Amino acid sequence: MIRLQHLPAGTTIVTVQTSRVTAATAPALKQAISEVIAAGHLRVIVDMAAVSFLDSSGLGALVGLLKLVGSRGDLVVCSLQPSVVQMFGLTRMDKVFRIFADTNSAASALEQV
Amino acid sequence: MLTMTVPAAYDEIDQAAVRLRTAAASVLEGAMLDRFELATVEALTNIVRHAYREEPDRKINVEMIEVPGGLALHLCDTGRAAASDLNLFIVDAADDDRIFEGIAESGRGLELIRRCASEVEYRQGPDYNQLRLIFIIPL
Repeated sequence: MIRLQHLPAGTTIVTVQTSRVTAATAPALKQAISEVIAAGHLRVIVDMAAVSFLDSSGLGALVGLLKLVGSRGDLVVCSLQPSVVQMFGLTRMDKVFRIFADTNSAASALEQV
Repeated sequence: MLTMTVPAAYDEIDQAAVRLRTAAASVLEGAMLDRFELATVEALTNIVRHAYREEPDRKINVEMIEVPGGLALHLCDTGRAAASDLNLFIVDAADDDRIFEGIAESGRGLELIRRCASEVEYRQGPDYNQLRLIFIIPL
């Protein structure tokens, strides 16, 4: 479901390994990333390069994770495929989430805070 | 063009959506094809979640046909009818961004369907519900 990479500056890259994040898979994904956050990793980059489809259930899971981090840290997304970019735009979630082109630019931005 | 019966389960929806997208690709493409898939998945998920309340062994009948200028997708279930106050079929209503204000974790599905499809129609029969989604290719 996910792969983790902990960067020296304290940021964690969570790479989503599921191509479709929908009602079938979103609960497990949310649970997996929730456990990462609960373990104290509060600067999180969700790498969605492998995600070709995201529906409102998947988006709801991301929103839940964003709320879970809250003001304690940061949760951003990166490497969105065009269909997922469209989904974020349709739902105005591109105004809620910080979106980066790739993990490097996301990591740089988070480490500057 | 394509007729199928989808078991009302979330993992079955994904399989059906991929089949429908593949078939729709002969008519739609690019971002419109993505919106077709999104509307299809949202509609099927709503049926499983709300019409059937995730009951096992229920079915959704799906028919996709080519229409002048695009595609029509008909989804038929025998579950609970949608609430009568839903503005699902008010196709001329301006896009309401308020549904997306705040960061709620749910409730975006219907508005997404409206934004992705060119037209949305919902009919309640004596023992069935039918959702009709039309996707018209812009000239």
